[in-house]
Amino acid sequence: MLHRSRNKRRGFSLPEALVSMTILVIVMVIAMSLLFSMRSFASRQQFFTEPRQSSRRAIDYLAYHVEGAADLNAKRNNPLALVTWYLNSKTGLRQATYNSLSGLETGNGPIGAGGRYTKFGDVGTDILSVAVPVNPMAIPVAKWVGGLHAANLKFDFREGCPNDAYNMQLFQQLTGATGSGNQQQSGVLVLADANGNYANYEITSYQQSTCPPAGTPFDASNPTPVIHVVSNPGNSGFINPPGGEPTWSFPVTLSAGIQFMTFRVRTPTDPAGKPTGPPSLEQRIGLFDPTTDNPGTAFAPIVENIEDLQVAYLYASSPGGGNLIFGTETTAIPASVGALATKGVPTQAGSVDPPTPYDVTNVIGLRITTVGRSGELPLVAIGQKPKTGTGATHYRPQAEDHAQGANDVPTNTAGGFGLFDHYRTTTTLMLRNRMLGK
Amino acid sequence: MRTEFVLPRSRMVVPSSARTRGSSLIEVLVAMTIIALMMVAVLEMFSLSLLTNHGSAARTEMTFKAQQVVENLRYAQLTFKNLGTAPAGSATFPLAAGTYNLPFYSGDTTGTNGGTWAYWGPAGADVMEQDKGPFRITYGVQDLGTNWAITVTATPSAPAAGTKAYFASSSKSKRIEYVAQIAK
Repeated sequence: MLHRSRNKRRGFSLPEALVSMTILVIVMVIAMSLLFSMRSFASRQQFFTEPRQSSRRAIDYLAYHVEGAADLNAKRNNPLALVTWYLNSKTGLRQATYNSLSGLETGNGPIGAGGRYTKFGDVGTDILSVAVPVNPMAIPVAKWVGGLHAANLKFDFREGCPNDAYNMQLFQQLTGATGSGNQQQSGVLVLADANGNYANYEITSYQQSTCPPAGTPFDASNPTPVIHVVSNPGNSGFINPPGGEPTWSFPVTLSAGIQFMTFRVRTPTDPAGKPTGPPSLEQRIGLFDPTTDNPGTAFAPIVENIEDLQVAYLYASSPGGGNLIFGTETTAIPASVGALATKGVPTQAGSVDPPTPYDVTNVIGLRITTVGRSGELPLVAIGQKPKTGTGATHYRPQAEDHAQGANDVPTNTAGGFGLFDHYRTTTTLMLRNRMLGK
Repeated sequence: MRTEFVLPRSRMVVPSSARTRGSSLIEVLVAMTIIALMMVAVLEMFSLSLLTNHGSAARTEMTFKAQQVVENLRYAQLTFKNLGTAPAGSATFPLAAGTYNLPFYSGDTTGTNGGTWAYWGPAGADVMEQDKGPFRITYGVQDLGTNWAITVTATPSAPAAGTKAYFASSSKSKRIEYVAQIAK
């Protein structure tokens, strides 16, 4: 300090400065060591928390949809609440729910040479399709024409009357119409008759709304034709449940406001199989379509850092006279049931074909497992963790019939350890709409 | 000859013409001590938040497991109603009022009247994810006439050799009770 005063003043003496600096250094060392220690704790806390949060968030999201899955066909105990297969007249039977993707499925294939990724999703993970009521409404068909492929149908829907344009607009919203003008097409819908016979249904053209005179009462035995639509199988997606063409009994209702949803786990990669982002739980609106979802653009990531999705099926009665739960580490659905190849998922009969004991309509609950992962661990954190045994969390843990993965996640080159912490969450979800009335 | 070591303690100009001086050693020591205490206090809050987070994580995990127990009992009760038998090892059916313990480890037969490890363990329902894990689970059954009231209680494991207890003492005092009804 410069002396500006004529009075006697002085700065620090050398010993004073040395002592002060020594103390300062000691205090700084203590403080910094505490700070680094806390940083390390915070980092470990983050790696501890991240996989738990992402895994539980995924389970919560799935639980919301799975527990409430329904197709509004109470007569048949909501047979399409879970969809494992569906029929497409162009390509035949299509699979909507998968067990343990390998890349060998029809329409699928491996990405890269590492054996970790396929076009449909990550190797060993499952795909699940469910029907979820988002705005449920049963709309009566005014007159059933007697065949499944009835091109023209009229519905007694008058929520928007007396304004015909508004009424048609509401109907289109309820049936998930997309496109414009004559190109408008509905989402996948469900029709059910008085006996619970059911079929998927698609509207390929919305014709017109003709509101009845004000005061016209609704008569369930003789509904009024208000909305006229066309379902032209030649132009539609041909989507029907596997099974047949039932002769239906009046009254027939359209279950509107139902959305089919599909969930899968996929890591985005470049063509060589190098990840370009974290693995995510992905969802699409609609049934899984193996011809386009490879990987396609219909899926959107919902929860990031999810490495696994596993589904086990809880049957209401044992298909084989023993186990009730299938798709587990020890109990698999047979490769074929009668003439049907199951591909490891429940069979799905139509409304006429008698269901096999392994039919999906016999499933009343799912045991769902997700595995979340942390951000990439620093090497020091990896060194603090057990590397083998049940406490080892660097590798994706075993879940149902998906073995623990030592080679399906990137590892550090030094010790060969996985670069992420993992956490597995399992939950049992009963399909509420299949439990009721049992 | 005394050497004065002049530190540029500050570039500010000491405005006073009165006698001024630098800080004494005692003053510096006191100031640093205060700073150190404050830093320790602040850093202690990080530590506290870490413990709180672990406690919350423990509570969340146990709640999740309690829910899972109820859902498995719901499934078992449903299959028992439909078939007359419940999944092997799930529980004793028909349900009866009482308190039941889930097995704590593979081969645990001590007071485990609530089912088997094969059903509740990692190869089964996966409620008990590991041998001697960080929590124990019991459930109570109460007869409400047309329904069963199920109260699932999850408590952190006591620290012991071979037991994976929750980190942090605050976690060990957590106790979860989850109540649900199951139709008879």
